[in-house]
Amino acid sequence: MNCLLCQEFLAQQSSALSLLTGRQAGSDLVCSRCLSQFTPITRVICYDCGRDSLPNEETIDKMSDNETKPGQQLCHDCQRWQAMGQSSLRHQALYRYDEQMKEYMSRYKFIGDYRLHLVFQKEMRQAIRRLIKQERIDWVVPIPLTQSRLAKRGFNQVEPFLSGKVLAGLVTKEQQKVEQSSLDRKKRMEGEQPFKLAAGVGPNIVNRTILLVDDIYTTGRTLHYAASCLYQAGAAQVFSISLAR
Amino acid sequence: MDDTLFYGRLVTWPQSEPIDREHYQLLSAFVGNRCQRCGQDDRASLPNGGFYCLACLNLGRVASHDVLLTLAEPNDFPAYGKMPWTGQLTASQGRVSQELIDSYQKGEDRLVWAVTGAGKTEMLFPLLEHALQGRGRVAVLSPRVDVVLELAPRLRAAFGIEIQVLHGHQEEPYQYGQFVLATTHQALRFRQAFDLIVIDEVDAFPYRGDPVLNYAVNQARKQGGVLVYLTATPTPDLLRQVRQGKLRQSYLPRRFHQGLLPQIQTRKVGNWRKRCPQRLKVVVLAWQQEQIPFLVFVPQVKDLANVDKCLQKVLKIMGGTVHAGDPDRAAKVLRLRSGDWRYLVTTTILERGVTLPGLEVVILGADDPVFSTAALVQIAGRVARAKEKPTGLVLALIEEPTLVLRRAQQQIDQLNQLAEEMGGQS
Repeated sequence: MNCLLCQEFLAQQSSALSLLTGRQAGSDLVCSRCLSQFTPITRVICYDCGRDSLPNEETIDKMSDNETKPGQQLCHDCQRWQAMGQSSLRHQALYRYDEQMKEYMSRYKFIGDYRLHLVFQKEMRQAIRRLIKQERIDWVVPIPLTQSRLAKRGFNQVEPFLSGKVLAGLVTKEQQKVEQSSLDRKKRMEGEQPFKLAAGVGPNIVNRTILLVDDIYTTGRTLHYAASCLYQAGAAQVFSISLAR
Repeated sequence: MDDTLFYGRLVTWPQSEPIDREHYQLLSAFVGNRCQRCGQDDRASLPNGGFYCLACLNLGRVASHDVLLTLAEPNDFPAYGKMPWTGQLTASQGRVSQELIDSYQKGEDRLVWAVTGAGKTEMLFPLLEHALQGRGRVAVLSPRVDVVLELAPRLRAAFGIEIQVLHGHQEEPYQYGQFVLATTHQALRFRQAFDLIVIDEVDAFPYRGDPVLNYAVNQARKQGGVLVYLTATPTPDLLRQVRQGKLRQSYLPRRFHQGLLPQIQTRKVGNWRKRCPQRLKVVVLAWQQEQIPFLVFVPQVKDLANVDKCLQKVLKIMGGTVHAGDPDRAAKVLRLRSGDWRYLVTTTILERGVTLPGLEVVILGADDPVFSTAALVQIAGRVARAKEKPTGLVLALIEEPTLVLRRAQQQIDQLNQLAEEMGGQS
């Protein structure tokens, strides 16, 4: 078969385990060259959104405190979030949202090649399990899709990445129809709260620690809305994680 | 929605979205397990209990929760007058051209076996004009995007009408039109649309032996629509159909400048991946001296850099490397054309479509299995295409002679013999 990302021929390199169990791993679908082109986020410079680089025009002096070490600072965007009264997310992202990740997302999400969930499933689950332990997470809550998008796509792209105790705590409000990725930053920031609490989950949220899971963190708008929805329902603390930032 | 976008098209539509079921023709996306766009049973499952087709995934997903929409092709085109093209066909081109028009009128398919450099594109013009004048919808399909892009301006100039160019990498949305020029895969998006489909280089990857594309072309033609296959190296399957009388055939063994196809010369060299062969250095130095542009074919992408390095050591002229996944491929070919670069080291991707007067080639590792008989004949066809210089060198550097290479040489001999026999006709 061919690599699902670059379409170049992929020599079968299945492990003995996958041959025995018939179970596929990410490396059975995507060639090692393509895999190596994803950029893992290793050195975080803002502790609240988990970014590892600043937008081009911003420099370090816009950061909150010059004296603190990288990873303990708050970037300009997150300062704005806090000024708007949003709580901290302590977001973590595994990979940079670069060209290679865009290509992946376009195939996985927009074309809808569900097989590609295997590429990052293991890693995302591991990261979530680690956070559950570290932060004593009670519930793992995925960012939901609108009903019509879910019907079209046939899957929620973050679903395969979930691990631990999963709670479908959020649903989308009816009128929210626009795909975030089709909007620019300004439009995204102007959008209205798209989420509400799922019926009957209120008691599960009160005083609990929650981990939100999304595929991409772009402006933070989606996750901040989701978090404030949970805080309103009485959540004690909300963390978030995404595959890409 | 604009109805014209559905004429003779197959549009994937999620069942969950509202649609006027009276207005459109609705087809199930799958019958049993078979995708109704590409006819294959090659599926992956979705967590909603459904599944989707893998065989035609690159054209957008067809899932079990989708339907396919279409509207019957109405041939709603303005009347077409005369084509602006006024070029002259040689006698033998003219003969084949007339055979094609006769076939079209009778509703028969036809295979045109034309040696590379025979001028087969021009030979199609009278047929295409004839079909356009009869309000037929026509499609010219080619397996390679490079060829499509090269043909587009030529066809626009020749016919003076808007031509819909369709391929996988384009940004512009689809529009309804009478004349479609597309990569072969795009045929999957049509249904009973075309009165005439011309399939260029039917032997080439990825049409050959690809059941998806056979299915696609048959779906895309109208009932009673006509197929014309063009090839320089017919596949055994097509030749069998000709022998069985199922397919009519036209020959065009002579190149338009009346010259013959250059024979492939072979030289044994040692392990060329280990040591850059002396023979290669001698040949490229001679080309540099005589200012002849050249291509060096190598079997694999990973050979490109090494071979280029070895050339750069002995040469003073500029050149570069290309392969299928190279985003700058078109630009690099342009640099070669403009004379800015004098050579390219390439994989088989440039075996077709690239025409450059006076070009010569060397095939390094021509005994590698990636070079099929058809590929080798095509590569030889790159050479000696100019009237001023109807000969040229095609050099195969090999470790061991192979049957595939021998067959290619036989096919070239056969074509040249045929050309000699039919010599009086052209």
